[in-house]
Amino acid sequence: MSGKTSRRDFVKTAAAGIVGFGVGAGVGYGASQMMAPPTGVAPTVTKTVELGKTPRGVPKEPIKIGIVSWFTGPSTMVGEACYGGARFAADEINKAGGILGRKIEVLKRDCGTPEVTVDAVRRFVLEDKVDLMGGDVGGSNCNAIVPHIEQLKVPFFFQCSTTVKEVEELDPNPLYVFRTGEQNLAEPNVAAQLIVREFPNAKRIAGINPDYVYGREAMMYTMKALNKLAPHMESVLETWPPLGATDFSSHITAVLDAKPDVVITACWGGDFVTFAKQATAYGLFQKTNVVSILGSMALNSLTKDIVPPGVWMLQRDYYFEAPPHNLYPLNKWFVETYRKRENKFPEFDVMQIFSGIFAYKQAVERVYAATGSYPENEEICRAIQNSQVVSPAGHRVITSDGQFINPLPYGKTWHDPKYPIATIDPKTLGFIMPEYVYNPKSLPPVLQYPLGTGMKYSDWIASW
Amino acid sequence: MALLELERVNTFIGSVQVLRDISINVDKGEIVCLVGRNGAGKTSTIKTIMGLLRPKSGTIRFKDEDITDLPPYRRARLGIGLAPDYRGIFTDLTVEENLQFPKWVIKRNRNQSGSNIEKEVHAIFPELDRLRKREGLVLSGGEGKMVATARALMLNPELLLLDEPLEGLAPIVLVRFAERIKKIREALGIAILLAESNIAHASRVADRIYVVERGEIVYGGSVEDVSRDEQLNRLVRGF
Amino acid sequence: MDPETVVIIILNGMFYALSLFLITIGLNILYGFMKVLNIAHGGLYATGAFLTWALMNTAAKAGYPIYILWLCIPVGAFLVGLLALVIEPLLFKRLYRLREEYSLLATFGLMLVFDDSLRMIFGGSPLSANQLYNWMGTLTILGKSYPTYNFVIYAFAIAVALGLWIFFFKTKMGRILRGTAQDREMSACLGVNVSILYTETFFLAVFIAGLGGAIYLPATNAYSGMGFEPIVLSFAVMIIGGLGSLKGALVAASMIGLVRAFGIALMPELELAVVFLILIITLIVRPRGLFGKKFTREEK
Ligand SMILES: Nc1ncnc2c1ncn2[C@@H]1O[C@H](COP(=O)(O)OP(=O)(O)OP(=O)(O)O)[C@@H](O)[C@H]1O
Ligand SMILES: [Mg+2]
Repeated sequence: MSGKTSRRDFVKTAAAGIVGFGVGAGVGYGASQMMAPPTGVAPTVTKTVELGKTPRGVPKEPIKIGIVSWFTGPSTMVGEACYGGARFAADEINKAGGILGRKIEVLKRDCGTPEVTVDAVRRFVLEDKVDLMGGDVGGSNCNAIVPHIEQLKVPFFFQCSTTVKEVEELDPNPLYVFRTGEQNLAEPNVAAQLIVREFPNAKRIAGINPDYVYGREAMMYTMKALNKLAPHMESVLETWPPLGATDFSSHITAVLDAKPDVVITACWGGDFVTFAKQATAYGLFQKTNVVSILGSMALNSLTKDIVPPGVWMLQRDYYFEAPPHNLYPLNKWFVETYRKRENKFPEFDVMQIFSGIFAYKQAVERVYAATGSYPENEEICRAIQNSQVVSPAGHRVITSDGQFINPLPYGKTWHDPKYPIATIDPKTLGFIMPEYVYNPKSLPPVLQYPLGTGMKYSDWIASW
Repeated sequence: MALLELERVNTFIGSVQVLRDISINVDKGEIVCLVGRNGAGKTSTIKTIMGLLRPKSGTIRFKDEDITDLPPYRRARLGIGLAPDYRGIFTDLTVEENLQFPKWVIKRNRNQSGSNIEKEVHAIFPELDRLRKREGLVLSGGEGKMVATARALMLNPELLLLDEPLEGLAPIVLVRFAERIKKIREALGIAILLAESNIAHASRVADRIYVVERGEIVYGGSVEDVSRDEQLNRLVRGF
Repeated sequence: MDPETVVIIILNGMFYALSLFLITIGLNILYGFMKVLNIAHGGLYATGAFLTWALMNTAAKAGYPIYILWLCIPVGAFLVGLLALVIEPLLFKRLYRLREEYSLLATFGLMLVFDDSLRMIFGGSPLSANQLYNWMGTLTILGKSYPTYNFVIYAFAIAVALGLWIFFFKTKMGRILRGTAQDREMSACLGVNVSILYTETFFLAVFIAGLGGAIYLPATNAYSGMGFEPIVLSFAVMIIGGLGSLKGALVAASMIGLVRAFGIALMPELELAVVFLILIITLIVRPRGLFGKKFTREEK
């Protein structure tokens, strides 16, 4: 199977995947559900193994996973979530005997500037001899490391929201690069869809967004999408607190003064916590509607005295109560086990790397089962493309260009006595379908952002 | 018994030896003057006594106590007061505050019968009253020397070190200031060690002098003897 | 913009300004008296926030009454001050005699040590202690909501500024300190144990930084890396106000706070640029800062 895939191929593979993995209801929920024996898809991968080659045995050494992320500075919580999720997956897999008997070890390295990040990636491969990597390395580092990943031929599971600018210049046919998290270009779309869906009569939109490429893009593309979907909405004021700000009072006052119907904020981490606390005191939440694009990253810090009921929050690609625990016990198990491990509710980063590692495991086992030979990285990656993986977020489809997709949850906060933090009111829980947000080649052309053609993202939105 | 005694003191600044085997002493109530040309080592001697320079060898005794290894603040508290050649007035503080400074410090550490020292000092330097509120920054050279000397006295010392107290003063002021130095001894009965490059100035106040040359004591005795010795005289004058 | 909003904007400006002020005065004390540029001051500010968080969180969980929570603020700051008694003799004493470059490098290293230690102990998630902030509630000023707790910060910062002014200009120790700053040799010759005095001064500067972190904690939160942004801005404030000047710190911080607050309302694009614009203009027009003086010291 080549890197390029037609829509038909995708559907076929996905269908096979569903046949293969949609099993196990009722018995022993837990990671075991994700470890169901692979069936059904094996024939599609055999092509990559040359006939007549001596089969390769299963290596004795453990599998090493390198997590490259933020382990210092204000984004430390991101690194901790990536690392925590990877160790969670590793422990579960190790408990069940490893991947074809190979145990998993998890290492971590700090990312930073593009140079530092590239260095971390190269050291992981060349010095630590890792088998796969993952982590959120920050949206502006992706393009710097993609060529190295392709050259080093070791799979990397990105968890970051690659900036739109980077996506526009993206390698359209990477083999070793996977994106287990949503891209930047997806988020503003989700925000716009949410606003159109929940506030159809809103006219005045304002923003409080962190002053760097991510925050800027979040606001800009949300407005672009809104201009297309709801031309009557206009941006009345956009404020830009610096990343890591401790004082949002001036921004909140200015925004209140602009009398917006909806306020968009892409503040995240500690910024969102501070913002929310001060916004409560200034009455922002009572006086207008707030849509938080990325506040959910600080999930565990959003206590009830910080976030009042009624704040709309995007959840990227995973919210710990969706799918609902009573309908989907795997998620219940995932949340409970993670809480026992880390005393935290799993953030989307935890789910992302968790599902990435299981996709990897599944691919290795699948190829091995079909060929009797332990696969090379190239074969593993081809087997991950166009597959799907059972995850705590539900089934995640992996496109031919390595994007993991699933419905994107959002909702309005409330104070559930069950939890110490502000959570999403299940009555308001909604999903934006990936088809409205993403651009997998499997989708009808009108919904595809043509990767690799150099087309500007804004032009693509304009073509809807 | 000498109040202050230096025995074979050798002091270096960096790798330069500035004092060679200096042995001097000052008795209670005595006024002694170090005389020498520029760069002879007078200031270095005074700094060594105060503890601002540490000798490499030799001992310094004050009131029969070996103070060679004591830091300057301990020596000050033992009773050595210094008015340095550059005056060292705290320019940010008023004259009043400069004068009170030693009292604030000492009060925190030892309780001495320093209550009347203030009166005595003002009696010796009546001009101080007029300067009280003045900032240290706006003092003239002569006023500065006076404040520095008075401030050192506020420590209630038993030995007063004055580095070039008469240098740069106008002739009339100089004569008056020299009288004041003698008055200090009269009023307080303390010993004074001063440094001067001009032997004529020294002769106005000193009971005894030491001539310093290239870091060595080349003579010690009465002022008259120096005046009579042509060779010494030339040495001190520099021509 | 209605007049009510202008009032709120001014208050907001001061909220921001005073956080910078509380850090900058510590920096100014250390530079003014010991000639060290202490980048680690940001770390001490952060430590104040984290330690106070730990105290408040423990007290709140144990159900202690609200006044105990108030008490956590000075106690947390005091604990940070105790830290000063360790790092000053170990590190800073060695820096006093060296050029500023050395103190910049060494204290930058120390800043990283603080940052890493805090992360190791407290983890990477932002920590908030909202009890006091919520307990104080919201005030309605001219029809607009405003957090009451902010007034605690204003009152506190004014008290610190006044207290320091009295300390430096009216107390014995303050004046001894000012004299020593100018001429430590002379000061020693007048009986001052400069080493202990410096330790005490260092304690004071660090205590204020700790107080800054502690008092702002209820209104913001404690998070990994929180010391870096304020330290950069505080250096800007320090330069604008004049190195070592208390008054300069207050005026420059207020200026930055107010210009920024109005900037956000009127030209939100220029938010951070405003601070550095003021810095650049100051450097061009008055390189020694608003209240900086040429260092006066008698010839020596
Ligand atoms: N910091 C220094 N480094 C090196 N040498 C020094 C230093 N200070 C003084 N000296 C040298 O030490 C010697 C003695 O200097 P000192 O200041 O004691 O002389 P002085 O007798 O007080 O002279 P003056 O009348 O000029 O005050 C001189 O040769 C001087 O060059
Ligand atoms: Mg001299």
